[in-house]
Amino acid sequence: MNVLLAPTCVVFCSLFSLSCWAAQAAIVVRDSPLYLDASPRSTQLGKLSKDAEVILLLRQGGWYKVESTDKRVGWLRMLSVRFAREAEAHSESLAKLLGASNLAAPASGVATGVRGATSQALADDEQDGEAQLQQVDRYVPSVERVSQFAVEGELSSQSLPAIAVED
Amino acid sequence: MKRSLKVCALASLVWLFNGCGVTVQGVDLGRVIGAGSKVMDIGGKSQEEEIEIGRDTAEALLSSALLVADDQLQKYVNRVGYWLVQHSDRPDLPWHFVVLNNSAANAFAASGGYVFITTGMLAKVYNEAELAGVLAHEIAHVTQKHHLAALQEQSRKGLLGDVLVLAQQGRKRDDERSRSGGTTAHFDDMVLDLYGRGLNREDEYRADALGAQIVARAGYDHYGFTSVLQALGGRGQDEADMTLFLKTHPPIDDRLQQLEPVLRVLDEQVSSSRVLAGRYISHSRAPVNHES
Repeated sequence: MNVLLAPTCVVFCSLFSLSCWAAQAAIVVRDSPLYLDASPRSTQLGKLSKDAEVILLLRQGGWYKVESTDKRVGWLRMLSVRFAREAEAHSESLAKLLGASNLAAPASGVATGVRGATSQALADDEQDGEAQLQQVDRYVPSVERVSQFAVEGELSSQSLPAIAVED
Repeated sequence: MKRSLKVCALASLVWLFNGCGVTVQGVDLGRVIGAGSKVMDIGGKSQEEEIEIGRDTAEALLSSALLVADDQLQKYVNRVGYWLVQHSDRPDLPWHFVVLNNSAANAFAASGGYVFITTGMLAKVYNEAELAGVLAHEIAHVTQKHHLAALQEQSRKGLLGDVLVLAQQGRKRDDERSRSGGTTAHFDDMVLDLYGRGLNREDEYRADALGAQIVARAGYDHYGFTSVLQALGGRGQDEADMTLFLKTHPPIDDRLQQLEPVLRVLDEQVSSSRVLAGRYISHSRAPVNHES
């Protein structure tokens, strides 16, 4: 994602409840219909075969707007694809958006992946755990503040039946 | 106790929110959701005891991890979390949502209502719905007492007795600064083993499924967590630092595949949902100093 486009993207996302993406390469994991719109009831533009490569342009709910290698553009179900790799621009642009461009490698230089801790972190014991735990208590919001927060975000509770998954 | 809980907590730190895929077969989520009272009996622990163990674990974790010094960000994440727990089956726990200053993408929980997320994970998240998805997965682990049950099960298998007693003995030892305690050594081994191998696969799948439902009930886009998993899965294919995770956990693709039926049902049930990208970015934009 170009940095210059990022603010525009944020506004766009806010207005239309879409998720914006860096150009993300992905692989189709099963033969899948390509739709004109993000709905199974929309017009089918054709099919994409398993292992086809696509570029993800946009996400809307459980759908991706994609461009295929033969330049067709349409919508695929989100779980019909897997990411080929994480585009570098993805994390870089987001880091800039977050103001966290000073992202640094873990101290050891060898992360243990999304499992998280570095060997250095495992060896350290430098913080005052009790004091930090007391500090955490300060962040607990009041019931009224939480309700206000939901209203501000136009979040509304939905009464949904529990889902039973069959064998 | 400090040492033993440190082991526990630091092992928690290496706990992905967890990347275990699992088979859906036979899991009745309706029963899972309604099983609060049954779950409450796991290990014979009262809610007070559960909270006590969780708070000790959280304290130990925070002995080795640094809070992000950004009150607004911490409060924002807590507001999202508290809105979510109102749509869980245990809204009355003393929940705490904690942002840790760590560049590794990670989120995890401790019993009794503690949920941790790293700045590295926040940097992977695009919007509030995705953040909600990550938090809801952890909330589900807590509401189902997955950590407590796993520790208690290990304790039983090892004939070590009650996990709370072990923890309390460890704390007493730490307070008195006595030299050693065989019981606490057993506790160390137990938590090391648990956090080394993670929660079982069924627990992970249940947390995925329940988390998606919590998010949907709270009015968020229920595909947010899916989006995060996809991004992490793609990352794992190319980056060396994912090797250990991928070796010790089932592929994220399998996990997503198992989650799909739940998402499809929610597609039909949900009438509206919010993504809230703008609000997420405006609250998470403050500079964050990662560890170096």
